[in-house]
Amino acid sequence: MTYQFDWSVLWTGQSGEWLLQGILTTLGISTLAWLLAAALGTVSGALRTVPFAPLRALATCYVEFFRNVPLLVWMFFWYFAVPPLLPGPLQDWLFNHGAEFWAGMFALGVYHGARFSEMIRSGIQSIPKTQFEAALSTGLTTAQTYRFVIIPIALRLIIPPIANESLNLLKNSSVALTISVTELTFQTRQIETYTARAFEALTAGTVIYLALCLGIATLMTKIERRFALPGMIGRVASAEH
Amino acid sequence: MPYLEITNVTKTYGPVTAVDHISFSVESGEMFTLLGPSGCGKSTTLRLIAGLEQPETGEISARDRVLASAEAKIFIPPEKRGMGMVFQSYAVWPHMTVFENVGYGLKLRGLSRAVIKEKVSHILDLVGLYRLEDRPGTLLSGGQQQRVALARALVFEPEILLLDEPLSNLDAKLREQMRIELKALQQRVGITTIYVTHDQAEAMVLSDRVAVMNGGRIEQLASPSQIYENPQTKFVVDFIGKVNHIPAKVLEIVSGQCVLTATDADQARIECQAVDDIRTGDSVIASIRPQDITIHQAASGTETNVWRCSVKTAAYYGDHMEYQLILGSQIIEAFSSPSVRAKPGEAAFVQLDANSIKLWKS
Ligand SMILES: Nc1ncnc2c1ncn2[C@@H]1O[C@H](COP(=O)(O)OP(=O)(O)O)[C@@H](O)[C@H]1O
Ligand SMILES: [Mg+2]
Repeated sequence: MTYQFDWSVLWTGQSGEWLLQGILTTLGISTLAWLLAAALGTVSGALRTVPFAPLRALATCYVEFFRNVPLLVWMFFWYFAVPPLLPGPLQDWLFNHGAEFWAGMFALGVYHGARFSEMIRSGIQSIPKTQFEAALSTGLTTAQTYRFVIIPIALRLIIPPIANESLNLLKNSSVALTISVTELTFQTRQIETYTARAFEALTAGTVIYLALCLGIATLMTKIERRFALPGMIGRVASAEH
Repeated sequence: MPYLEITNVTKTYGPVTAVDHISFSVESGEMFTLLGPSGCGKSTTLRLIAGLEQPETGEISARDRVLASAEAKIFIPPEKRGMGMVFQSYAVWPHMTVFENVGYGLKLRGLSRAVIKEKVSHILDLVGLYRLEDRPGTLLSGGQQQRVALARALVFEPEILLLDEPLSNLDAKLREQMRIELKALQQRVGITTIYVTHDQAEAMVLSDRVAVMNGGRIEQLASPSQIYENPQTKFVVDFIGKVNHIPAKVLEIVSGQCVLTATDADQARIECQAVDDIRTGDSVIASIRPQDITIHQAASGTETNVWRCSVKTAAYYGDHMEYQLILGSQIIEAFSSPSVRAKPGEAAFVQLDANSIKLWKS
């Protein structure tokens, strides 16, 4: 049996439009979820190290709760379980403005936020305690010390694992297809259904994911070069410094 | 009036009593040093003063303002104490330039850009870092980091400067240079300073007064010369400079003079000043520093405290000689001028200066 490849299915009919829209949705949901995850992760990761037990406990609860439930369950939870709890007008607004997109974004954001949180916590804990104490004895308050000294250093130390986790976030955005977010995987399935060309459609999806991930990885490497702290993560100072 | 007063302060870590009911006061403008071996509680004392640790007993106050009191449950946090601190590791913030490291605290206090620039430039000049403002914090040598840390601590004009072994990470030559610079700087700024070190030479050069610590307590608190010439405990004698300990037995005490025989040194005679609590027949330790022993290559008559020894080792240091000599099983260390050149295996006569001998019960 020989399979006749027909790559033209990817740009004839509505396919091209669908793919483009899939890419934009994937990038949109991932970017927003990343911002949410970064904010939640930074705040909760920092709180897990503060010298005040109730705040530490709160942050620990967040991390353990969201990290230990599968992403798929969170998708269903935010899409099916949460909206009915909201006031009527907000529900209506949501369902007119892509409720599945916002539910998927929240699920991705809080789930990866919990994972970012662990990285930020370990980054903070790898900073010598005297960095913290030097700030306090210079007159900075504990909050200022975190905001201007500890978190900026920690973020620079954890760029490599954060880069890796960001790629996971992008790839995990495909789970949002289960709540019918029209992202890239959803669209390739749609092309497959319409054209019965599974190989071509899924190959297109694969190549696009690969390109997106490589693009992000390159960007992250650039960021890492720019912000690396020579000596602290073993990277030698580059010549332009 | 004391500027800073520490009264009966204790701090424990689990089973370890790091600081044990310690009391002392520091005068305004003084350079006060906590000196002692590693683990004796120097850093903990400094951290208690800075507010990085809370005392479990006692009180710390500065100019009649209570900073911490275990009994009254008062604790002023470090950022409100107006103290500058320099850490042994310097803790220069790696993501900031030299200028930012020094000026950041001022910026967060809401000072104008112009004022910050002026203050930072002034202080960088003072510590000898001028023209390095834009250098990133990670690209500094040990000496430069030390200066940044010092500038960062001084820039907001703290009332008290706390220095925790600030020179111990520098190489020997730079350490000596910084020692002199630091002293000059402290005198120019006139700031009350508490200095922590395990290096007795550093303490001697820098301090107005020294507290020698051991096991969380202060063994002796006095001027450097008092500590050196008149140590009050055997620990202080041992810790400050080299010393010979000679086990002996008291033969007799006559009108303030004490006669001993050195038990390990063939019962050689020692005459020295008597001390109150030592009686005839007691076993004692006579201690004497190597530089209070003179060496002669020939016997010189009837002087007291002259022993005939044999030379074990002789080391030439250019400006002086260091000898190890043996009598019986007693080894004696002595320093002499380079003009005395006894060789190992030869006989030599040592003379112990009677006024420099200290007696301790053994
Ligand atoms: N954070 C800590 N946790 C447990 N033990 C400590 C801590 N800090 C200091 N210690 C202990 O307290 C004692 C005094 O320490 P420190 O004040 O650092 O000594 P020094 O500065 O004189 O070398 C030591 O036995 C040390 O091990
Ligand atoms: Mg110490």
